[in-house]
Amino acid sequence: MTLLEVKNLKVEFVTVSGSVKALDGVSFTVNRGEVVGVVGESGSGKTTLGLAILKILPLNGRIVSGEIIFDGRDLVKLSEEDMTKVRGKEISMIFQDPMTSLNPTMRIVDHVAEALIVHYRLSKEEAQSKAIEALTAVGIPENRVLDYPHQLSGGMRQRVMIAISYALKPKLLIADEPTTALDVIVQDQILDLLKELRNRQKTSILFITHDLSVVADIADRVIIMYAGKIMEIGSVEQIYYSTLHPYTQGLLKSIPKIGSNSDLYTIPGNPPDMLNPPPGCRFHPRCPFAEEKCRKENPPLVEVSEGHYVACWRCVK
Amino acid sequence: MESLIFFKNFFKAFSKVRSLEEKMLRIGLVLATALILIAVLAPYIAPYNPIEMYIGAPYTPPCPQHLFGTDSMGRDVFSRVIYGTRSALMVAVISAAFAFAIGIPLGLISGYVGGVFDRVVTLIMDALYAFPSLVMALAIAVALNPGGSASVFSIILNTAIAISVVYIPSYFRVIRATTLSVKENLYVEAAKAIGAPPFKIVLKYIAPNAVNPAIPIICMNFADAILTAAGLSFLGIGLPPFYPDWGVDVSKGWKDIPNGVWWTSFFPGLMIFLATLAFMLISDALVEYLNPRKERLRP
Repeated sequence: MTLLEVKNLKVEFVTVSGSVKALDGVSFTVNRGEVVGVVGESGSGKTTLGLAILKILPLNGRIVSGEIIFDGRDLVKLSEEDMTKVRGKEISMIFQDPMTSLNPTMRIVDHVAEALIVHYRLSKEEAQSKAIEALTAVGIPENRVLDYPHQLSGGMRQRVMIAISYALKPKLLIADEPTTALDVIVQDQILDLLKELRNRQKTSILFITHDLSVVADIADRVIIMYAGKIMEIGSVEQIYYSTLHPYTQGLLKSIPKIGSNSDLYTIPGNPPDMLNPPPGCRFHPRCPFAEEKCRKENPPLVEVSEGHYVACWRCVK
Repeated sequence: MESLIFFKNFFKAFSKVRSLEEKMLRIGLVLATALILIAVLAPYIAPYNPIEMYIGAPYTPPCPQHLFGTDSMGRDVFSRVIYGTRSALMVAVISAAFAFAIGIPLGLISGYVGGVFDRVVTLIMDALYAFPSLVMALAIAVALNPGGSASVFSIILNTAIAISVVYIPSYFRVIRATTLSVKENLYVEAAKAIGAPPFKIVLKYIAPNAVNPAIPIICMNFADAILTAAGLSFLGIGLPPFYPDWGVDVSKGWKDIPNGVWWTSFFPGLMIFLATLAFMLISDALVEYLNPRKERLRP
């Protein structure tokens, strides 16, 4: 039932001041029809993970080692030509900023039609009619399909991006903070749309976000990332009710609560400088429970109960 | 008196227009349209055959029979100037088309692909760009023109190619620069994520968003091509002496100036000036018009 299995994935970016290990040995699985949330602070490697799976990293980024086994094939070893067939048709991605993710010189119906023409070699008319079908399915009225992106609101534009995925019927959808730039009401509508997509087409979704409440709403399982490493993996219940990692605990405590008079809790310190990550556990400089061992040795990701993985020395018995 | 009123109204029409750029654009467009009409309708406008000698006495000053006078061989300067528009515009159009057709795709590909290919192409283009344009065009024109019995059209074509080579780097540099910024847009990444092949990304997602800045260059190219073509024929490269061409006429006529015969070189020179001015004005106005930060020119 596993659709995607990422094994020990390492990605680095070459910069002027040295190489940055954006992902340092990331391993996880996504099952068919499952929504997996990826949560972490800015710079924790969430977006890099999405781009690495599609192999569309920026020019200075590269996959150093590891495997990305998708539907029985290792994407890392796949040629660029075969990869273009996977992109969109089998794995599709929607982006954080719907205002800039559409080509300003193309009508929205053509965005969807173009994707269909590329992958299914449909005629222009067929592609257009299928595109209109997909656009109306995601809630864009038929009289708006000839509009240009600048005529649409942010929420509508994100619907167009989802319509592309709807039309292509990918097995996996990588949603990179799809609701971050939208207001709460539209956010809710988009989440409903994604859930519908999952239920109707059995699409697995890798949902990247920094918003724990959104994850609780949509995800089946959650991956907590920090400084290019996975800290904790578990079902939504395990993450929220039997939290193990001090970082996850900190994140959960930092959610503002209505009616509370006390100051908002924040995790002390800042995420580490990725050029010189701290030795041992990446989180130890900010961890209230840090011990000598944490400063020296990196904790392995171990299964503590069924499906609940944690990388913390306190949980290794 | 009637013509005076006409001019008064003509300029009044312009003074109503608010911005300077729009005035420039209008004057440029009127001049350019006039030139194109003159070129197309040359046989109907020109009173005499431009290459027929001794239509009037040599060196007849401007008079009602010969509006711009006659030259050393008694040819009608007015007719020659009218016909000269044809070769000037032909060179301009062909050279702009060539430079556009080569410079823009090259700039798009180079900017999109990047890496070693980009480095090499940019180096070649910079080398071309560093050359003084007239010297470069001169060298290429000499190399291309076999001399002797070549047809007039092939000479014009070769001159145009020589000038276009000089202009390819201008298109290339501008398009490469905008491609570099356009390709960073999220919609390009999104296009990659839906599996669009590279040629589709360049053609449908980058090109329409990157070619705008090339449009003023086309007009500038027009203006400069007319000037360079005139320079080439002035130097005796290209068109044969009998052919009606502004540059040829200026080069034949300037020697007459010390004898008080100013009209044989002045009128072709004036046409070179007006043609260059027309396209320069359009180009400058377009730069303003296509500048997204300036909204006032938009209707």
